[in-house]
Amino acid sequence: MGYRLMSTQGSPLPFQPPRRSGGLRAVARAAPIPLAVTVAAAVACAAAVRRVSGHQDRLLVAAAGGLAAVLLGTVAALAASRRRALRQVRSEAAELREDTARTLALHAEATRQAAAELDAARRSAREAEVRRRAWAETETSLRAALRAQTARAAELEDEAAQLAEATIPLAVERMREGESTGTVLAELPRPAGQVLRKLLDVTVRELGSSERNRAAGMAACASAAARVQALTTTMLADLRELEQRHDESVLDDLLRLDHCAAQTGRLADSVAVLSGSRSGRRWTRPIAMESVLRGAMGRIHAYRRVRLHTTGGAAVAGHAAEGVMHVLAELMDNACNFSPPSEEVHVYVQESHSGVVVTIEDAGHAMPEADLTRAERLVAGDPSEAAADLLPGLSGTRIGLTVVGRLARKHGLRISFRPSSRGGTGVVVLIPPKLVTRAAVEYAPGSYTTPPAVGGRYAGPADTGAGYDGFPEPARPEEIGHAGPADTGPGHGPGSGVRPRTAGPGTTPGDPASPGAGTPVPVPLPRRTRGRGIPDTLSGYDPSPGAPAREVPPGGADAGDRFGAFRDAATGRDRGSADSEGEGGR
Amino acid sequence: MIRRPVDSGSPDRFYTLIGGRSSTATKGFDLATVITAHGEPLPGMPSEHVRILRMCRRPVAVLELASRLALPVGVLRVLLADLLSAQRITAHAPTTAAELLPPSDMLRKVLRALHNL
Repeated sequence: MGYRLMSTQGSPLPFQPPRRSGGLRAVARAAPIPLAVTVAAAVACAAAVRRVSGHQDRLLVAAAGGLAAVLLGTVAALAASRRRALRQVRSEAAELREDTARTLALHAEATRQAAAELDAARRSAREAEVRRRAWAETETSLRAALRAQTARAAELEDEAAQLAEATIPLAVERMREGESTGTVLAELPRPAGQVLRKLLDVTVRELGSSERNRAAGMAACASAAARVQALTTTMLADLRELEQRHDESVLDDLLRLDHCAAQTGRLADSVAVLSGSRSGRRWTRPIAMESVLRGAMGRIHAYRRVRLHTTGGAAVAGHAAEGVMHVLAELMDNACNFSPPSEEVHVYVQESHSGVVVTIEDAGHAMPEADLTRAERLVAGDPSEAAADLLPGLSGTRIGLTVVGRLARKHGLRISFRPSSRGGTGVVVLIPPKLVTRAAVEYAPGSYTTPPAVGGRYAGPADTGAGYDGFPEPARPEEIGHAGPADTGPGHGPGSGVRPRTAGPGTTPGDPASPGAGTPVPVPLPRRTRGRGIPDTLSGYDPSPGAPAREVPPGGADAGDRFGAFRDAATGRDRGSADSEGEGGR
Repeated sequence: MIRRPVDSGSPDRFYTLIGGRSSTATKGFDLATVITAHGEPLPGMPSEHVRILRMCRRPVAVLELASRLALPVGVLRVLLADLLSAQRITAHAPTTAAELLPPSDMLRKVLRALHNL
C-alpha cells in the first residue's frame, strides 16, 4: 500500500508498464470470450458459406467471414482486456484515494499534534521565562542581602577586633589600677553590637570580681605573712637573748631553734614578697657585706655547706639590706638544693666600680640551657611586669626564683646565671653602687686601719692588711709589751696618735672629714630609734673616751662590760664602735 | 598595719658563726682563761676572729671577750678553739692575785712612806 501510495504520488507513469506487460496475460485471461466469439463467427461464416453455393463466392465469403470473425474476436478480446484494465485502474484509483485520504488524515493528525506540541512548548517556554525572571530577581535580592551581610559582618569583625585589641586590654589595665567596675565600664568605648556590648559588660564584671578576689587573697596572704614575720622577729630576738643568758647546756638547742625560726622567717618573707608586701625586717643602718651574707646563709637549711669568702668593707644600705639578704638566701638555697650534699657552696664577694658582685658557685650538675634561660627570665628585671604586679612563671612549688625576681626588680639588682668553674652553676648578683656604702657604723673588720687607707675606695682589710700593717704594727707589740693595768702614760705616746683614728672607724661622721671625703661614702645621719635614747652613731661625736656610760648594757653581760669599758678608757679606745652593734638587737 | 619597731640588731645568727659545731666539744676555755693574740688578723678572716685578735693584743679573759663581743660564751669558745688550732692565739690560765701585786717589800716601803707623811 505504502509503496503504491508513494509511487502514485511520485509519478503516475510507472503505472503503465505492468499494464502493457500484462497485455498478453490479459489476452490470455480474456481469451475464452473472444475465442468463443471467433468460433461463433466462424460457425456463422461456415453456415453462410454453405448457403452460398458458388465456389468463388464461397471462398470469398469464407475469407471475409474468417477475417471478420478474427477481427470480431480481436475486438472482443480488446474490449474485454480494456474493461478489465479499466476496472483495475479504477480499483487502484480507489485504493489510491483511500491511501491519500488516510495519509491526509495522518497528516492532519500529525499537524494537530505538532500544533499542540508547539503550544505546549510555547507555554513551557513562557513559564521558563517567568521562572528565569523570578530567579534573576531572587538572585539580585540575594546578592544585595549578601553584600549587606558582608558589610555588617566586616563591621562586626572590626568591632570585635577593636574590643579584643583595645577595649578589653584597656579595661584590664584600668581594673588593675584599682578602678571600680562601674567607672571602667562608663569610660570605655562601647561597641555598637548588642552582643559585643553584653560581652564587654560580662567580661569587665568578671574581671572586676576576679581582680577583687585576687586583691583580697593577696591582702590576706600579706597580712598573714606579716603576722608570721612579726612573730618570727620576736622569736629571733627572744632566742638571741636566751642564747646570751643561758649557759652552754642549752645553747646548742637554742641555736637549733634559732635556725628553724630563721628559716620560718624566710618563708614568711617569701610569702610577703609574693603578695606584694615587704620584707619582714628593716635595718636603719648599713649592714656589712659579711653580715648580709651570714644573714642570708642563716636562713637556709644547709647553711653548714656554705663557705663565705668575703673581704672588703662594703656594706649594703639599710633599706635594701633585707631584700639583698633574702635574694642571696634564695640563691644559696637553690645552690645547696641542686648540688650533692657532700659538696660545698662557695660565695665570693668582689667590689668593683659597678657595685658589689656576689658570686654563688655550686658543684652540682650544670643547669641545662633551657633551665638557665628560664631562671634568667624569672630573675630578669622587667619593669613592665613589675608595674603590672604580675608573678611571671610562678609555679606551685618553685617560688624561690620568682621571689628573687621581684626583689631584684625592686632593688635594681642584676642577676645572671652561668656555668660554674666548679662544675655546677654560678649565680652572679650585682648590687648596684647606689645600694653600696661602707660598713661605717658596723664593726668593719679593717676599722682600726681604715683612716690611713680611707683615700682608697677599696680600703678593706684585704688591701690595708699589706699596705698599712707595717705602719702601726711596730707600735703594737710594744704597746702590748707594757700594757699593764697601770700603763697609761707611755701607752699614750702612740696612743695620742691613734686617738683621732679611734673616732674615725666607729663612726661615719669622722670619715667625710678625713681625706677620704671624696669617696662615695654616704653619711648616715644619727637616727633615733624607737625605745632607745641617743643613737649609737652619736657616740662618735663624743670626745670623751669614757663614753661607755651612755650604753645601757642589757642584762647579764653587765659586769664584764663595765670591766671592758674601764680598759678601753685606759687605752683610749672607743669600745662603742665595737660593741654597740651586737647588743642593739634587744 | 602597725609596723613593729625597726631592727637595730645584727642579722647574723650565732649558729652561722660556728657553722653548727657543738659548743660543748670545746671545753678547753675557762671563763677566766686569758687569751693573747699572735700578730694581726689576716685578710678574709671572719670579722669575729678579727675582733678577737685585735682585742687580744693584750691578754684578755674569755669572759671579758664574750661580754665585749656580745657573744654567748659557748659560741666564743668555738671561735677561740678555731683560732687556737690555727695558732693565732695562746690561752693562759689566769694569773693569780699574788702575781699581779707588786712585791711585798715594795708595798711595805710604800706603807712606811705613807706613815711618814
